[in-house]
Amino acid sequence: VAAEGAEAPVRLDSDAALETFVHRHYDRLLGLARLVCRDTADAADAVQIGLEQAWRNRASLREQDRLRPWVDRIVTREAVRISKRRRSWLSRLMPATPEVGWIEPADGRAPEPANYAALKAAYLRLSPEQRAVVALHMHMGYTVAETAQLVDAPEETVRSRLRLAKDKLRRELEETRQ
Amino acid sequence: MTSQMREEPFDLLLGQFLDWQATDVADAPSADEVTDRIKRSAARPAIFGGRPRQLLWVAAALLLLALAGAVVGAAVLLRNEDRVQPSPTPTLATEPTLQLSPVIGWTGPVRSDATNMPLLPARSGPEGGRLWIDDADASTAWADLTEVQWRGTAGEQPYWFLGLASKPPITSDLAPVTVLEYGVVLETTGDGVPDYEFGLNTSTERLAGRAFRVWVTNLATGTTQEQLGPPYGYPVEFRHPDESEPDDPASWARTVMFTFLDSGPPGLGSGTRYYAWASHTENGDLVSWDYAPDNGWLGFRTLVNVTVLNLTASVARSEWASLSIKTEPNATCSIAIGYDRRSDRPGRREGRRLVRKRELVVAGRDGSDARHLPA
Repeated sequence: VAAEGAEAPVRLDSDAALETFVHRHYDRLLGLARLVCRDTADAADAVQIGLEQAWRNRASLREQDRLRPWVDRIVTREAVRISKRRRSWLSRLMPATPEVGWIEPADGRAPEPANYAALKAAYLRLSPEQRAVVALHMHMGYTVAETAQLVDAPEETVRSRLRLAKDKLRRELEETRQ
Repeated sequence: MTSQMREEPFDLLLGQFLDWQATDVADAPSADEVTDRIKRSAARPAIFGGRPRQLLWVAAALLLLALAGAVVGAAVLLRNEDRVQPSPTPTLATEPTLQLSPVIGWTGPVRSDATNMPLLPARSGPEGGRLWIDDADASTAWADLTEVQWRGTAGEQPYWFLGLASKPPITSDLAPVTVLEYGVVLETTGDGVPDYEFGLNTSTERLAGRAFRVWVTNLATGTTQEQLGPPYGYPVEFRHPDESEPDDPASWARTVMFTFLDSGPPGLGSGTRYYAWASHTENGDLVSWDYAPDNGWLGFRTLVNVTVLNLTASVARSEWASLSIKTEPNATCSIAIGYDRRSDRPGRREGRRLVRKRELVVAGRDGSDARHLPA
């Protein structure tokens, strides 16, 4: 999995280093979690829990230059767990409407491009695992092999999730346009 | 229009959408707030994760439980009475019903005869790993290890995959008295004495949302790190069959996976030996168990000397090449066969090509073996 980028790697060995790391990576981690979770509150929870885990277990990280993918992995896993838990509760409460996606109220502060509303609705209907691999591969730039390591799944499974997710998004987008 | 041509504009649109969606985080706390929370949480006991929000949830849950205690208790009793038992229905017994692990009975995850167990050769598995196929010999299919896979290379993150004879019931459907446990015992110092044990069990507190307990025990010091309920990941990360998705390979529905998100126990390396274990208890009584292997350790790598005794070269197409090697009995050898293409004809491309790479187990009693591979 890719090591930390061109920036000087941060070692989580002091409070100051923690602040540096969080400030450097918080927006990125929040974006990653946001692409897996249904809303910002869940995403913020996933990042918070993930960073707490990383901080608590910082001494055990073998290769400090892999801090970034290590934290990405923890945050992704937590985001998937939170999403699954949320989905589970929702499916128990509303089992009769499986085809109705949950669409958040439009945020008036940021105008949505025309295609994005339909894409957003379709994207939220993907499984958390599918959203995770789409986010890691297509947004974060990890290769399929790296994504497979981050989500603890075989490469074939990651490819399958990507293919199914894109097929579903494309199909639903085309249906909306018709 | 090809599918590739259709793919590119869609990928571009999807990429732009993801970039936009990832920035839709206006209500999130600031980086400073998060940093402060992390520092504060580090000062609190880890059992609550140090998170005020979790503490509120715990307090709220306790309050609700106090108010509805009688109702919940009655519901639990009714649920137990009406429960549809998972299939196959566990046989309650204090002794195993089958002859298991014939060398020794259950002594817990840590076998009392571990010191004398041999290191067994495992076959090569997927992605350069090791694969051990175990007999189906336990009375409960969900506690019957039929396969143990290890993946990873020295210095990299190790993964253990424990294949079960059958998909275990969904944990939330298990009766409260039923506990299924899976784990691995490690020997890291080369003396044959188990050094670490890690595993997971279906927690008896699962009705309170604590579905699994995971732990790592240092057997030398007796200290245990554990996590009861989420957030999981430490001290050992796992994947339980409950987490299977429809597009996962079918075998994942009966596979328990372990790995370490950190560097794992000290001493974990290419010389580490391990075996897997599983157990099923009802009301605290052992019903079924399994070790895999039944009697022996597995290793990350078994390196032995291999001597190439004879290699016949310059073979023509459709003829046979003969390769003779000598090594220790039952060693797994990785053999790569290629050829040089050399042509006297002008214009023909020269080069080398790997035509076959395979692993084979040397079966000869004295360690010698000869295989014929098609040219």
